Amino acid sequence: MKIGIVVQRYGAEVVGGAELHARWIAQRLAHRHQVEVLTTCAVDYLSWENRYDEGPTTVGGIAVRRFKTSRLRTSEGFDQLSSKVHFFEHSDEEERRWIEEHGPVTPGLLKHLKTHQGDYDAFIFFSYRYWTSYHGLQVAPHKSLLVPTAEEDGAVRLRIFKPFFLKPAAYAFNSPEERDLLLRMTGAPDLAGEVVGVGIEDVPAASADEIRQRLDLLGDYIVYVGRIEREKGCSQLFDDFARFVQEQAPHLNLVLVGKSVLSVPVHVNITHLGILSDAEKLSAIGAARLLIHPSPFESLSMALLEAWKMGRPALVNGRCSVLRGQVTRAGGGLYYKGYEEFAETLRWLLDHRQQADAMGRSGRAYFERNYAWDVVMDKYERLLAMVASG
Amino acid sequence: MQEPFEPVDVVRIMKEIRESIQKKRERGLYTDEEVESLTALRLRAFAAGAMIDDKLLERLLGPSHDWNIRVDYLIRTTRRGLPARLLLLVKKLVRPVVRLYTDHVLNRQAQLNLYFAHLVHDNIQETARLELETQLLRHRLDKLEKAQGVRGGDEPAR
Repeated sequence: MKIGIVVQRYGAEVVGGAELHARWIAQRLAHRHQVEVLTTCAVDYLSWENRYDEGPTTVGGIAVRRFKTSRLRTSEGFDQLSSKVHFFEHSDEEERRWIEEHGPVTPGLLKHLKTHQGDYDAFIFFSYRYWTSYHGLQVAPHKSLLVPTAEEDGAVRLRIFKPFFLKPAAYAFNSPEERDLLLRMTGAPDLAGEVVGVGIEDVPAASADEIRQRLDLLGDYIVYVGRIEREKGCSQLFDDFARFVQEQAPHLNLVLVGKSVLSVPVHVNITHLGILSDAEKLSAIGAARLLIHPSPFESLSMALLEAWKMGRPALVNGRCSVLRGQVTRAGGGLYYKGYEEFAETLRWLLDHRQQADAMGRSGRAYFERNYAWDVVMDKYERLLAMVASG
Repeated sequence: MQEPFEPVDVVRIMKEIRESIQKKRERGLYTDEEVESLTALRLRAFAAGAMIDDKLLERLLGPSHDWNIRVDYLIRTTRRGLPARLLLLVKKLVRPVVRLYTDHVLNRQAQLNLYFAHLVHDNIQETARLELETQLLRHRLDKLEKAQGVRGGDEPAR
């Protein structure tokens, strides 16, 4: 089967959950199928500036065809319009303009899909909200699978997406909550597809002692993994953590792993390690007391899966239905809403070490049952067979 | 090989934690909800003093940003018939020119409004929290003093 995978960015240098998800799926599907990734020349999702060369290439043994974006995203063009469509009354035309301003506008990719759609047996589109998926999927929806990566934010409620969500031949949802979200948004009784998610690549992880020494991590710490930005709940986390440490845990540390878009406060108990290799990241998670996940918007959270792969419990933002649902199903952690619950649940996990470790093991068992690569890829094979035959 | 699944009852643990929080509330320890409630009361009280429009106040205290100024403006007229249509047409033609001069200023002002609104809200919230904390500490101090038989600077009773 020839499969076209359409994703807004692709490359080893690209930092992003959905993009990594797409790259891992492409690599796994290529074991059995002919895979071509159709993507942009951009690395930065804030500007969509072209960095890679246009045209066919190979990345990690996978055929990739890059197309130039035709316009940059600017804060002048985007921010105000985004605020309008999310918070104020607005027109359908303004929503359509939002898609254009949000980007990445890639006319060459769209033209390629229209001209060569017959060459592919199936398409997999990642992330509904980007121009590439919104316009690209509508070229051949009858053989298109959508991995929506939808979160309960303002974008999913835009009117233009309601008919769009009815177009894919099938869905690879990241969680039951994501499926329920799209059912609510569309009002449809059902949407063809399965809850699939993604696996986590195996890498040799260092022992706790070794990683502590290598990264100079002293004492007990909780770890945050991901982009450090306000939208991921990091500002609130810094406030809550600083208050918790001052009130009751002066020796607890918060370790941050990831690229920072937000200023990290200068605090004796907060350490920012920046971007680590996959092996070091998993090792740092494995040596932590728990993973802290303050994000209010997620469709899956690979960091949560990484924590469970390493057998560590998680403390997640209870306002995110996906994270709350995942920890409840897995028995792999606790959740909180507001500072009181943050303090009490964190205190509980720190004081009940054995039970917290049991949660980590429970999370790992849940991860193995639902997110082992053979489980994930079996689901993709079923969905692709459904889509290609339609 | 899969590890045996050890179900952990997260719901039960969360229930216990929430009961523990409730007990602390009953012992008089301040809660985030009480702080938010006091903050909301204060914000309304200040607004009453300022005598601003009630509908605007509800929007200001609500979750959306629709209280803020917008760079765009409505094109409308109270006239009717042909004069109305002509006037609307002229206004639509003029609007892009007007916005060339006003957009950047209004956009900046809207951002500043948002910042100051959050700044004020957060400051009032922090003040409320500190006030409740001070009250609680005074309450505890009173109880301790009574328990030790101390009256404001007196020596403890022997």
